[in-house]
Amino acid sequence: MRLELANFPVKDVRFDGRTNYNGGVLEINREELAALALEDGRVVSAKFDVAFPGEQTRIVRVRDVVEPRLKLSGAGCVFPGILGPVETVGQGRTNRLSGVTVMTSAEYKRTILEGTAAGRTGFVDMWGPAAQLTPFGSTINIVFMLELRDGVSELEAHAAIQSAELRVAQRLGETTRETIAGDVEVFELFETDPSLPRVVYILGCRTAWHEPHSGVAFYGLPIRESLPTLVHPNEFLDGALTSDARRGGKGTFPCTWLWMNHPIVLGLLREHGKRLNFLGVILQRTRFESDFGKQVTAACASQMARLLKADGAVITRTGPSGNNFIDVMLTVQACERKGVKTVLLTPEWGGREGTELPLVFYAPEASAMVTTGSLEREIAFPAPSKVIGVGDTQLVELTAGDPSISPSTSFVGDKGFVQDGIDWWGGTKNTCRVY
Amino acid sequence: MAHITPMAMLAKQMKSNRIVTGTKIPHPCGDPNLPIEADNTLRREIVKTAFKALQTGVSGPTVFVPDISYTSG
Repeated sequence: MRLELANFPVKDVRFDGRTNYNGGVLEINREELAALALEDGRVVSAKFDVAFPGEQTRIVRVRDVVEPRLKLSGAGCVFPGILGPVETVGQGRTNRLSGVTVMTSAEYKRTILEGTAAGRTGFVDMWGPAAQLTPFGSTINIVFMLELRDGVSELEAHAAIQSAELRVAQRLGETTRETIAGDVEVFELFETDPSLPRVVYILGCRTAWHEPHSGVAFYGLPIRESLPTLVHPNEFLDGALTSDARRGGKGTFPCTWLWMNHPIVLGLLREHGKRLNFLGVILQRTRFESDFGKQVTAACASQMARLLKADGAVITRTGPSGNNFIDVMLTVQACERKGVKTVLLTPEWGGREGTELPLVFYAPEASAMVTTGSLEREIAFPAPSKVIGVGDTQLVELTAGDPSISPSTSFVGDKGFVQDGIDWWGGTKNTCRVY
Repeated sequence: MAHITPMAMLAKQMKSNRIVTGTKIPHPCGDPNLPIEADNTLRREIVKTAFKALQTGVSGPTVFVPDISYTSG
């Protein structure tokens, strides 16, 4: 499986003329893209705006973010199982518009009014302290503002928002079809020097059985109640992994853009044949609700690593859940007991001052851990000069049941308020100092 | 005190003394997947194990495992 990822960098986005990519400038015909979204009877309004890095702009009601890509050759399409048939992707050639996102700010009438299954939103600041917490403080964000009609169920809301954002992203990716790429990066798990260490990536995902969508979908299929699944890393690059499009912010679920630009998947692919032999990704559902389920998933993921003859495993997780941390820790333990060395990459708890217990569960076998920062850092968000987002932007609810924020003002809040403000996979620039 | 929990490993690490393994976080003392009679038997078994734990002297975190089987994780 050889995938060429052709890069088309975007330096500017303009809303005039026809939808077109030329010399780093992406022109967008807003009416055309809105009409595309409005083909779905569940969508009542579709509008566009754009935010550039450095502007004093706050984007609110963010639920998902996508990178525009186009499948030029090879089986399937980008976002298989959602925008086209289920065909194994990850080979051939895929074009990407880099440095630009489709950022979906969506509103619908919730039917789940509280609890962890309810829809959520995050926000993105294009300047100031919060811009550095997320990849989206330094990308040009095409804000896609979407309103759904009433009477749409939670799962339908997810499907409608996702379908609209993915179709818009696909249309933008289409602008690169006749253009010659700036650079092309090749990803392939070719046969390599047998003396290199064999490394597998165990990607723990927080899912819950009682939520309408399990938070992560593989080829469009939510991975609820599943056992570990072996995935070729190239499949990530073609959008085989997507998130719940109702749920932004709160650091719970990485958005679709991050699944497509997964820093560990990309890092291990780039080191393949140089420092290591990358064996593949074990996608592991976590947050089982009994010790029994947790032990089954830990045994299964570690056994898969052993069958792949892995020398080492990189292990990560998603979701600020103490519950799923146990599944992950048991997986570390099970791997080590089977002779697979592990390194666990995770953010930590520890309270506002960093003086409390950093981990909620511990196995002595977890002897190599890397922190990606505190889950509980408090941020002073400054007042913006412009707020972009669907609906009423004076008062915005982030999480059901929590007090709303007033986006046009300054306020103090959690770093989890920011879309992908919590780093599960080590993609942001956090540093640690000992005082 | 006897502590019924589906997360006995965590309870042990937190130094709970008498730990009784329950079924699942949303329903630690029962299993809605089972028909009512079987569920009643399972519930009785968990509570009986808790009573047994209360009558047992322990010198540190001890897990008491009821005779149950799981229908889900």
